[in-house]
Amino acid sequence: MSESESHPETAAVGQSIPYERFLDCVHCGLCTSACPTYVETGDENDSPRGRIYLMRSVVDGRLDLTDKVQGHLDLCLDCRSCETACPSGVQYGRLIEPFRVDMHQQSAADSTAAGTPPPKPDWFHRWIMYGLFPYRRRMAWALAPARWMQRLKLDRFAQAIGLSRLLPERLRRMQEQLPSLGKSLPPLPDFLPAKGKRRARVGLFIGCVADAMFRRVHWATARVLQENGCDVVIPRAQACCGAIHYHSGASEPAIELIKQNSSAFNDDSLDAIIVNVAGCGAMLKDYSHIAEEIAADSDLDPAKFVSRVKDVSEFLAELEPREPTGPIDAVVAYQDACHLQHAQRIREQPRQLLSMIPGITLQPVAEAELCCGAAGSYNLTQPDMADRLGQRKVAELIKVQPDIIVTGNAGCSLQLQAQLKKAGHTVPVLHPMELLDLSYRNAPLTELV
Amino acid sequence: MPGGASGALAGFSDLTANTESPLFRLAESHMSSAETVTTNCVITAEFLKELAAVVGPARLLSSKDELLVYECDGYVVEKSVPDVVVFPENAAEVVAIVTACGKHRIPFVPRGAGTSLAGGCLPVGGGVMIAMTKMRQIVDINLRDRYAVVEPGVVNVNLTRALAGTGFHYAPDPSSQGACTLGGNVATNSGGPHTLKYGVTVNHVLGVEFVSPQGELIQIGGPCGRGNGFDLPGLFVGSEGTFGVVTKIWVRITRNPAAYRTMLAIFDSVDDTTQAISNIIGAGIVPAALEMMDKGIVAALEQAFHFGFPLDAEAVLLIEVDGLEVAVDAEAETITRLCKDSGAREVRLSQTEKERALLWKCRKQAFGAIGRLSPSYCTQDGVVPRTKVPEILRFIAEVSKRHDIRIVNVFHAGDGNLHPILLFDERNAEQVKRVMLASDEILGKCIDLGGSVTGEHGIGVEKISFMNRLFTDEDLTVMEDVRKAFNPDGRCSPGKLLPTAGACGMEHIEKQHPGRKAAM
Amino acid sequence: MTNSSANDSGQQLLMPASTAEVVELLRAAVGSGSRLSTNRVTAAGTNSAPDSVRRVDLQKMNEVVDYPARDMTVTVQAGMAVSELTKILAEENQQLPIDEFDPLLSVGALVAGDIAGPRQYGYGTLRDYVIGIEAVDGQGRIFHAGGRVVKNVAGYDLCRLMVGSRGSLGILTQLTFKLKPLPEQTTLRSFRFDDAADFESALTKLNVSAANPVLLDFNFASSPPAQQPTDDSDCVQKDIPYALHIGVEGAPEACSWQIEQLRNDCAGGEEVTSDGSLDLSVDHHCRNAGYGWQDNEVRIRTFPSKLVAVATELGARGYSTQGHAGNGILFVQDRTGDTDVRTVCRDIVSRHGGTVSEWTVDHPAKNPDPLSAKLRSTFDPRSIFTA
Repeated sequence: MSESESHPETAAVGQSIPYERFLDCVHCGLCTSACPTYVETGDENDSPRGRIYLMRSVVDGRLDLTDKVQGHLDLCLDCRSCETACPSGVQYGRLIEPFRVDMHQQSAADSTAAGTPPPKPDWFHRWIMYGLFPYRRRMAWALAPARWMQRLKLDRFAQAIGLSRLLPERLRRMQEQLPSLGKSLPPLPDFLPAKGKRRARVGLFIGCVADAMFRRVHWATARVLQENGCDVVIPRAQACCGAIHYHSGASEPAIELIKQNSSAFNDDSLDAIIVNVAGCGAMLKDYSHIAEEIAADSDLDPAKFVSRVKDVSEFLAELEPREPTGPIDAVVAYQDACHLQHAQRIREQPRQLLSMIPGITLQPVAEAELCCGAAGSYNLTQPDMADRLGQRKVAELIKVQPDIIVTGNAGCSLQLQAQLKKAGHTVPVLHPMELLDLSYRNAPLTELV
Repeated sequence: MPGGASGALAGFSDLTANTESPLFRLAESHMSSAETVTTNCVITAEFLKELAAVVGPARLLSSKDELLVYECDGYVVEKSVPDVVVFPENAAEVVAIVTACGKHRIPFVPRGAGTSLAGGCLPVGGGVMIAMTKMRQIVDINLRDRYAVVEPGVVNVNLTRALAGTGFHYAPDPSSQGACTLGGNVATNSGGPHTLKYGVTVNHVLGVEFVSPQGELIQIGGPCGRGNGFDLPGLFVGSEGTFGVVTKIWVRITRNPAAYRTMLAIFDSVDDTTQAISNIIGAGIVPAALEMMDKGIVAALEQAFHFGFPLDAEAVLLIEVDGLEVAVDAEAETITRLCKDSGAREVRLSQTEKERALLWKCRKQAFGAIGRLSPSYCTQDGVVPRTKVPEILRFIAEVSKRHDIRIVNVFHAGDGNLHPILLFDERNAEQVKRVMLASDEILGKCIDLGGSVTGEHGIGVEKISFMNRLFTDEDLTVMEDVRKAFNPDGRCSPGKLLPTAGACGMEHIEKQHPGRKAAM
Repeated sequence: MTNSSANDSGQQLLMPASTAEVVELLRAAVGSGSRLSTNRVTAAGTNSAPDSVRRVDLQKMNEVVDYPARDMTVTVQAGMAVSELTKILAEENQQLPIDEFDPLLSVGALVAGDIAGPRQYGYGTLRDYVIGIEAVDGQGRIFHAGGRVVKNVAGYDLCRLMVGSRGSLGILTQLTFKLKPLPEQTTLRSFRFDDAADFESALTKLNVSAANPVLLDFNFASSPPAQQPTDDSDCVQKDIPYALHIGVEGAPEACSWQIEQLRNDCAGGEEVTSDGSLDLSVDHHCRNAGYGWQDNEVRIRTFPSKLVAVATELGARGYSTQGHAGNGILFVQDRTGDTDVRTVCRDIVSRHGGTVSEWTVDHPAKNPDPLSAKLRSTFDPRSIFTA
């Protein structure tokens, strides 16, 4: 059997990673069953232990960074489920993320060296992922036609007659992933005052894609915070968290965004910076590590910013929320977003908040620790695995016969809606803040579904 | 060195795989490194084609960059890259793979999750590795007749998860249960903390379907247990993959106890602690679990999990009784009294299910938490008669002092199954040597005290040279004969369990492992 | 030199006093081509074995080798009588929880026969208690397996192989057992059911009972009830279609609490007493039942859920049954006079699942599976061991 093609200069890849991080792994294998891709393929190369072994072997010069090795590393969802499972405290995210940054920069450099125009970032990354996603206004514009198509039911018409198939594959997936967009809501104002006795003053992070597609959740979050005595500040100068850039190896734009957000929220009066999207929250909390990794020479120090970032459920649980009283009679399946349960170790708080709502029955779901396959832009770059994991997740969720599925992350919500649709289910997917808001306002569930 | 070459290395089961480290070089000095292991088994294109015809190209790995991760399991001191890895999805495919291996005289080894701590799935001499991770269906659960039928790749905890809410569970609970497979549990006869009351894997296996090294699909035992012949399932469990490749397992499922009481007894001296263990067992109480953790391990656990362990205590006992609600309180009270009579400073009763779960999480993840105490460590698996626990602990303390190696203890005290953990820095070659000597002395002492060198991890390749200290030559000849009855030419899991097991391509092992006299 | 004497049938009885002597007599047998049997002579077992078969009796090897009571293990020579061992263990408040009531049976025969009584429902069988063995195989080789510690995975588990091997692989010379504490109290209760459906429903409830029974036995008299084989006046099963005997253990309050649970589980039946006293001992119960020691009994192992169906079908054909309901084990008494009771059993079992055991003195090597045959020839290539 022939070896897969290897790249000539791979010496630099992973060399900047402190070697002790590899040594933290004692090769016990307890992470394997927690890894969604290993659970699907059963191949050690697709397990966290295996990937660490691959990366370390490349660093040690035992292996070349072949296409196959890259393939196994690219298949990682970066869901960090392995970090929860690992008893040794291996910082897997801080191995795979910088390694992949190196890997992508290396392949760009290889192409330049070979005299060919750099194929990466490809059109998709340039125009859609970097050019569109991170910008709230551009996203709003881009989504307008989709919104109209959905309202006129033209989207289904296009799918039915196969027009959608004419779109490039990744665009088509994006179209499939689009949730029901509903009416466009007005943007949040700069400030929303606390209701009743003021208990805290918080900044609200609204992100990019989320603000365009999930503004409803932002409004609900703000109202819940107000209801709990929080002044809510929404700085205009804030930007995309930079996760898309960082995870695909584009470190320079990521650094710019870290700078922009740190300064936008540089307000000493804020008790906390609230995020309601798990993926953004994990990225914001990781700013210090990232700055250390990719901008060690600069004077960038987001520590002050990082120390105040809180997921909304984490913040509310600490604050001891006001009792919601409006009943919602429903069986709820809560799907843990990886970036909440693994990256931020937040599992109990959202459940605790949901359980406070009268009428809600929270059903435990099997394989709760497994990723749904969304993983940021993963479902666009690794569609096969994303679909396998999506359908696996849907099957488990449906088993408990939920009236509502709740998840605390925009990407998971998109993925679950698309995968539920694909499997022929119509269960709505909501954010915990939407239900809490509903209960505080004593509004009927029909308002949302 | 008394234990021979590999005996000296026995126990470096949790070292990291640093090829640049002195330890690894040391290991290399008597075993070819991963890159240089060559097998005498020629993998021909024709053979590969035959395998590919069975599983398809997508379920076959044969290029070096994808094989490397299979060169070791949880035991990383010795390494050997397989020539091919295949992922069968059913028993018929396993039959075809094993038959092809037979036709071409290629050795093969089954592998589950690769969590063995003794090199149980090391592909000694290369050959074909049969990865069972795609055979992971729970085929049937029968609560009325109290059994479940599973494929070998089912992860241990997934069976108990599948039983959630039924009032039943699968009793053997090795600390690696979140990842290890039931097929691997059958191979090594895995234990766990709750085996004190509920027994080990063999006590819960009713039947096994396996593919013999000759390629026949054989069922021994079944849902009603064994039939008229010998207790073949009993013999099969713990055979470390040397009898064939398991394709299906019938396991007993156990009623959940109605009530638990979980206690943490805190002691100011190790001697008082071991006295309490002895008194509890002596009083005729069989707790569901009786685990000891000493000061060193408690410090690491507290750092990792913030349970609220007392950091000034010399040792703690984690004790669990279970059974009828009407009975557990009286048992818990008796245990509390016995602990206090033995000098316990305090006995805490865990108040909530959450607290109990955290206590168990601390215990089960103890090995991992050691990473916080020291850059490298090695875990031993010795067993002594329960009453010899004080003596072996004193001996371990003495060894620790004499060799200037820090040793911490976390183990199944009720079973006398020790897991002394030797802490060191693998970059310090001289220290590594002292760790080897200390390990060897501890295991030797376990044998002298009437015990064994492995309670649950298995012999694998790691402890093979201890076999002739545990057994007579005649014992080993009889065991070798039993192996031959199943596996006549030794091609199935070569180089495991018995010091005489070998196969083609074993010659280099004979040369470099004087402790392993390759006979075949 | 090995002592020998002639037994009642005039056959030569070999009585070695040490493992070395066992080796010696094995070597002699290899040399002379004679055959050896360790099987005891049962009540009905008038010896039909040819003169060339020499009986080996280990009654001189009856010592306790080591009893570290606080380790809860005991190592004894295989010729020790089980009743003797039980007495020794009881002094330390411990037990080997295998219900055996034949005062002469040796521990070696117990293990070789894999004898298991009613409490196997709660305690398991000998495979769960033998942790170490010493034996001599058909080539005169002394071999050991396991050890003296309760947890040990070094080497092949020849202990399990020897349990139930009926003397066909070797002569057991020494055994180490894991022990259990004696319970504070054991209480038995009996319930009668007139209807198969009620009986079945009680068994289903007992499978998930809040109580934790250690014994779950039944008997079923064929209809019309055949004459009872015993004249024991306090035999509880007379005229009762289905009777269930349930045993619980623990502290007195735990036992009485459990009995309340059992009464709920058995609400479809009627609690019965044998002789005015509700309390039956396990011994008494075993003597009543006489499990497994009648030569005309066939043992069936089926699924617990199929027990009632199998018993009912056998009953319809005139066979009474009794056994361990919780384990799906039935003993069929052949008193209809026909000789093909096994054929009937095999036919019924083939439809419900399970096995018909060749129980009392039949040799497992009679119709062995290929693997068992291979093992037999490994340990005893000259077929020295016989029934």
